[in-house]
Amino acid sequence: MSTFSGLNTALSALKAQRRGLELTGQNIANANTEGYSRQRLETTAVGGTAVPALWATPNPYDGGVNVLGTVRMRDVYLETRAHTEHARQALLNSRTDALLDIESTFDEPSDSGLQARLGQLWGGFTDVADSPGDSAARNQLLVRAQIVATSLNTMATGFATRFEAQRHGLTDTITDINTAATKLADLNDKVVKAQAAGLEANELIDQRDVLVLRLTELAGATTSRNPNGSVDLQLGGAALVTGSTARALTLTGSATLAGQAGDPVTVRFADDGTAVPGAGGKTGAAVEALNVTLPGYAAAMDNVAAMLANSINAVQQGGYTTTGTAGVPFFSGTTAATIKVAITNPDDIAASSDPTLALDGGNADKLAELGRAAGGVTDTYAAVVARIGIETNTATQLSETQNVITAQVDFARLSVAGVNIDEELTSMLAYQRSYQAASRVMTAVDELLDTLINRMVR
Amino acid sequence: MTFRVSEQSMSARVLTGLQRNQTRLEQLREQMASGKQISKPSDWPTGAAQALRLRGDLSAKDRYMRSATDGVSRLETAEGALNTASSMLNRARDLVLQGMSSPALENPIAREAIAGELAGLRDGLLSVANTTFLGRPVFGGTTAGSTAFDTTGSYVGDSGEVLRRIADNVQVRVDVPASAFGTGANQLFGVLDSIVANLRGNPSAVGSDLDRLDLGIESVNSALTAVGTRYSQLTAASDAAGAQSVRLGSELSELEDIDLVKSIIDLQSQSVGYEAALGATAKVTTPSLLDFLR
Repeated sequence: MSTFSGLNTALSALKAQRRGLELTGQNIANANTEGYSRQRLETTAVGGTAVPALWATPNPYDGGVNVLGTVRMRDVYLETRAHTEHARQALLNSRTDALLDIESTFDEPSDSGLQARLGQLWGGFTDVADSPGDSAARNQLLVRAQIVATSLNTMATGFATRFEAQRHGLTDTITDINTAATKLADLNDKVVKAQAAGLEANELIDQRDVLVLRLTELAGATTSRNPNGSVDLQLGGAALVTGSTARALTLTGSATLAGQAGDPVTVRFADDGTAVPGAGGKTGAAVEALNVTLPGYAAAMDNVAAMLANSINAVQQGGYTTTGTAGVPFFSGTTAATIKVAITNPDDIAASSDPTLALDGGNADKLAELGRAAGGVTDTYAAVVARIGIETNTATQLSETQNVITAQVDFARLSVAGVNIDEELTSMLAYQRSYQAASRVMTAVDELLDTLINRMVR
Repeated sequence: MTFRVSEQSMSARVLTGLQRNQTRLEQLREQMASGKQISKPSDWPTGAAQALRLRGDLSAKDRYMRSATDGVSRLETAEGALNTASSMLNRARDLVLQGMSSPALENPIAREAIAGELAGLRDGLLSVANTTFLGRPVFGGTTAGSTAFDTTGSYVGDSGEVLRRIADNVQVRVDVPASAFGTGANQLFGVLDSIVANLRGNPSAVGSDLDRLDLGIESVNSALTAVGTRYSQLTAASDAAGAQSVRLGSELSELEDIDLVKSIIDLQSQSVGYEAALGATAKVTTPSLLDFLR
């Protein structure tokens, strides 16, 4: 036992308490930093024999405190769950947003939606059937038919612009993914090097965890941890980030809704051009909206338009105009985008069912009755509206449920990793008091030595 | 799982709760503002589908009602014309009987006067037979011309029928065929022409003309009966469509519109809940150990 060992013990205590106090300061400073995990000081008492062995003599007088390092308080299980739940939440929320957006093209149920416009069209045919000789009724019918055609055109344009907007959004998402993946690879590199050099890398690891969470939200990535401290990222089993290298993603496929069928939108790896096997999260939802949802509803509305044009044209061509000639097609075009009223002369409406009866309304009545036909245009359109309603409703409910689950996982995660000010204040008090006590010890030892050195030699 | 509470976890949880409260409040406000509980299909998919069907039915009923109303006016016009024709023909019959019997039978001047009046009645009947509704002759089928009979009394209309759809599978004829004025040899204008000629030149032949006139009067009267029947059919259908329309309208309102009382109460309790949550949050998040350290 050396003369000054008491001073050393007190010094190690002062150092350790100061380190603890600084750590508390760091925790409080980052109480609201996203992704920050609180840190705790790991200390151990000095003393005793480290390795008990034969002939080893323990020195009962040496002491002090040794700082082992700082520990990030984090639960890996909860982190992994958070990744899964966040990816799912991003997928469901984006899907709901896309569906809500599509739903807004259907202005139903209302007095201005397509259904109301169709009702007015059938009413127009009835008016012509009731007064075939009235040019006002015929003109009104043509205007109403044009409104129906325009409504369908507007919906088709709505789908096309939504496709383009969705695709632009996906391009931005891919850019975000590439940036985040590059940063992640960079952080992996730094973390591995720091740990190899025995440096603290807690803050870097926190930053990396934020990036990993972001990537799972953006692309539904799955993670795996390596023994050297780096984190690998996979998309559907294909590596996106391996250690310190990141692969870039790129987007291929049609830029327009019209070209989508022949050239579906695909997310690919930029280096070898292979398709990403399973992208989830925001990217997955966007790809689904671009390749499935939007084309599906566009096709459904094309079907409505084709049914409208074909059924009316068939009846119109079976009738006769005021001059006794057979009717010509009423609508041209058989998709929602191209449908328009083909006849311009109101007298060309084939209201008569008999070439010899100029002002008969029999055929116009048949046209009006198309609106009541079971499985006809009205029913088909109502089925499309019901479908978007159910799909949107289901997606909304799923994403609401998922939000609750994600919030719970986040709560549990933050409970472990988050900073509690009260707790920090308490440990601050403890460190402060310990520091004061250690300095008292130092003063006491100093006085002791003073007595020994100055008072004994007189 | 864990009992530790951190600043972030607490604020996250409080925020989630407040957000949920606010979303619900916003939904209720939107419903109150629009007065609709279904403003988009996803609000209530089955309800929205039903609402669409009801709206379709409503617009069909409106069409049927419009058609029926139009048909009723048309039949009223025809009925008025047939009533006038009937009384004219009764007067003509009286005149014919007068002309067939003494003293007019022996007096050419008296017969000439009767023939003159009958000729006037015949022209009057012709103009009645050319009665129009919205510019179209009611006895002319679907003719594009403005008259059903020309000045010689021959039919210039066509054989078309004017129909009005008053229900999904019911069509009612709302014109009166020209046969109401007799057909062929019994056509009233021909009969009256013949009576006028015979009264002037061949009084003995008037007897057979009278038989034909009676047949004509009969056909006018039977047409009147038929019009009456169809008239009541149309008004009944129109009333039924009106009643159905009201019923469908109230069903639609029940589906789409909010229950105002319930919505107001919901909104009230939701705002109270939200305020309470805000108050509690303010109380709970303020105190920390800092407040109690010297």
